[in-house]
Amino acid sequence: MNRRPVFGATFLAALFLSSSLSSTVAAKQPAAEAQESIQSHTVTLQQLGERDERRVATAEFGMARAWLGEAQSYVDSRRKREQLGWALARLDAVMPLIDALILRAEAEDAASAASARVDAKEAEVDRVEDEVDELRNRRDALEKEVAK
Amino acid sequence: MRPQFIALITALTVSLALGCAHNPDRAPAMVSYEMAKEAEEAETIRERNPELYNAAEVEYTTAVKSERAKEDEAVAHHSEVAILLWRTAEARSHTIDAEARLATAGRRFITAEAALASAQAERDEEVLAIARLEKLIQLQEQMDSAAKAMATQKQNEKAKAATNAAMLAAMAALKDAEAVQASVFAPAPYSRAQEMLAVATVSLKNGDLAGAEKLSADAAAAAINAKQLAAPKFEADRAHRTYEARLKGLFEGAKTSGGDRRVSDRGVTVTLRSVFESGEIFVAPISKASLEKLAELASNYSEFAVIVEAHTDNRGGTTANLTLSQSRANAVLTFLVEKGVSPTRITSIGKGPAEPIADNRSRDGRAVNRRVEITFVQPPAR
Repeated sequence: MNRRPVFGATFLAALFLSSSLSSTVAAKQPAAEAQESIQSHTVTLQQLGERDERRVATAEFGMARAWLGEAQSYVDSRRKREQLGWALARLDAVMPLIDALILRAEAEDAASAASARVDAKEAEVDRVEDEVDELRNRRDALEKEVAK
Repeated sequence: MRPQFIALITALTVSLALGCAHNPDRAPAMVSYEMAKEAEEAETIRERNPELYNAAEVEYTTAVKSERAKEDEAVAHHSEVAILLWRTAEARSHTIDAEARLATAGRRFITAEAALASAQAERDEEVLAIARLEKLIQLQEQMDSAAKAMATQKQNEKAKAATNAAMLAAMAALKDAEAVQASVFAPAPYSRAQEMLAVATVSLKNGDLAGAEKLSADAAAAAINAKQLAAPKFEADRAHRTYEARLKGLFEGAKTSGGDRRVSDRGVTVTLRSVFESGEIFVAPISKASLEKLAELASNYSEFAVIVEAHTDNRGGTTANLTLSQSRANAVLTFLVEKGVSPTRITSIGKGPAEPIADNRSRDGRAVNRRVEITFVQPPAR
């Protein structure tokens, strides 16, 4: 759970960075930097894929892979600088989304599990309280018998 | 975020939304973004993720500008980024909701655990209390059972003692009855008493205490009845036996007097002859020894009355003989009294010649008829 803020901050920073560069700097981003960014996104995507055990972001992974391929195809083309910047910007945006979807699934799973545990515990409380009621009735009956 | 910036973005969004609403060729991502912002939870998403929202709005604004410039590729890109950012904000908002649910569940869990611990403690307390009460009831039942057993035992002992007492009483009554020979003088009730006592003994062995007690009481009553019936007969028999023994002793004792002895219904009669010289009214010395023996015998058998009867032969007048015989009888009486016999026991009777026992025509016969008979008469009640 502690990874979530780190991921969030990282992706947010990347997002702002990509957003600020997407229209101006990204268009003029050197090929080496773009390649480095693609590589970074590829690693991040792989890491996210390992975390997505429940397959909650399959579509987003598909989009990300498509945009990675698109960006890779634009790296060496001077005429596609703007498209490269856009592809990288979408990658910047989709990575936090995948992360957020995984975290949401994890949180919802944890919440559901906790709710189930609570329900079970409360059911146990009800059961024990029922037992207590029965025992109290039994004790009352016995006390009356003793008092006779 | 500055309010002017938000107002500008909002105005742009609204105007573009209104404008695009009539344009069916608009980018799908743009339409999706605009619809997402209209959703019920949009305000919450914006409040929770202002930076993402602002970034999305920047992209959206750029898309709107690109749309005006009819730069379709740019519109698609920026609206795509805008919707990605919005969905990210939405997912994070949902994460916050889930975390809130998790926190709530955690608090509920703590509360439930506390309630469970409390309930379990209460249950344990009730279980202990019930165990104590059950033990108490068990002890009470054991005490009741023991008391009941003791009471039963006591009652049995009491009944047994009563039965034993009744049997002992019956035995004692039988013994008393047998003391008066009830088996001889009242055989029927005595036998009945014996039989009932025997049956009572069997009943006692079989544990029928009440039956044994009743039979014993009946046996005692029968034995008492037998005793009551037998007692007078026994007393009479004993008196008779005593009398017979005394009579026999008297008869044997009379032997020493030298007189003739006989036993009759009246008792023992000793006949003495030659007690008096002819015509005399004084006891002849020769006969005194015999009379002394008879006086001693009379003293030893004091329950017998003594009748002295003097007889004469028939010579002389009857009146004279009667007078003579009476005088002689009196003389013997006097002699006996002098020897210690109570006068109240002695009766003297002059018989005269009236009761001869031999022929007066002969000398020997007359000698026999001149006699004194001393009869020891049996007591009136035998």
